[in-house]
Amino acid sequence: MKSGKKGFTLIEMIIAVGILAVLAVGIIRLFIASEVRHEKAVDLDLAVLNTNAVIEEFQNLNNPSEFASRFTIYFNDDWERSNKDANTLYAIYGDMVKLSDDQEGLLHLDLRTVRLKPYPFEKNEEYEIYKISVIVEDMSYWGEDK
Amino acid sequence: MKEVLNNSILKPKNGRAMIETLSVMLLLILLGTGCFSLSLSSFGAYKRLNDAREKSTELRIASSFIVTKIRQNDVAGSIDVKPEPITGKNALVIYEHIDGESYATWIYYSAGYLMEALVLEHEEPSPDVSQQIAKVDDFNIEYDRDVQRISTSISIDGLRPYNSTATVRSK
Repeated sequence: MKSGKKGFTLIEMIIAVGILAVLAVGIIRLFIASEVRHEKAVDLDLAVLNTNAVIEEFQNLNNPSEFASRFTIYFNDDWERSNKDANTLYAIYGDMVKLSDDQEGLLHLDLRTVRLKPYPFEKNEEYEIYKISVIVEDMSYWGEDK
Repeated sequence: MKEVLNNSILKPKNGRAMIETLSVMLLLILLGTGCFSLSLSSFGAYKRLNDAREKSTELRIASSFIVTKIRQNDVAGSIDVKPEPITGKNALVIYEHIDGESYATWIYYSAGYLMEALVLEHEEPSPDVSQQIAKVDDFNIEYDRDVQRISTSISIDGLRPYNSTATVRSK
């Protein structure tokens, strides 16, 4: 908008401030998305560690088949095991089944780690962080010598 | 009304009213302040995110290093957890025989770092002969000999600790 005089006109300034506002919103959204992704990455790390701990526990049990075929372990926001209450943020859902008769002494364990509350600016109530299926030995079948 | 129109602030002067000049100046200040605060807050947010990412990378490295070391050296009598001589805090000790000589690898915490030292079995580890594995604020390791389970907790201030467990299979 050249008017032969130096300086900015009002309309130019309004456009510039508008562009800045749009940029600012974009940058803020980018940082929020980045923060959420970082939180998801940390949750994935901790979910893997805690799920592995559960698998280790099952491998050390003398008779894992005595346990309920379906179980849930709850964690608070610091990934410490807790009962289900207002501070519960994560859960590991376990599903254990015996394999077929020709595969006696082996158990199939499905573990699914979820976040029970949505991440900031996300809607899904239950977010699946990590999922693993493993075969564990039923020590009551194998015993110490087998 | 006539008075208002005659007011110098609304009266065009050299083709531009005073109110327009003032509005432009105000918006210019707003734009400048906006640009400055946007770049400042962006820098702060980026730095905070980057710091958090670096810290969790250090925790991830430290945690998987310990578990990998236990898995790699799961041979009868090779793995132990005992107090490290300098600070008295528990350390992971891995014994191995190389060319007829007995060595011990100490993985311990010292001065803000998870350290690793390979020394002769009868020697004590020291930071001079150790190498840094990861920058962490605390490292705790416990060995439950009844179930042969090693539990580790590694933490950095401001982040949730990384707790891991590994069962020693060899007897």
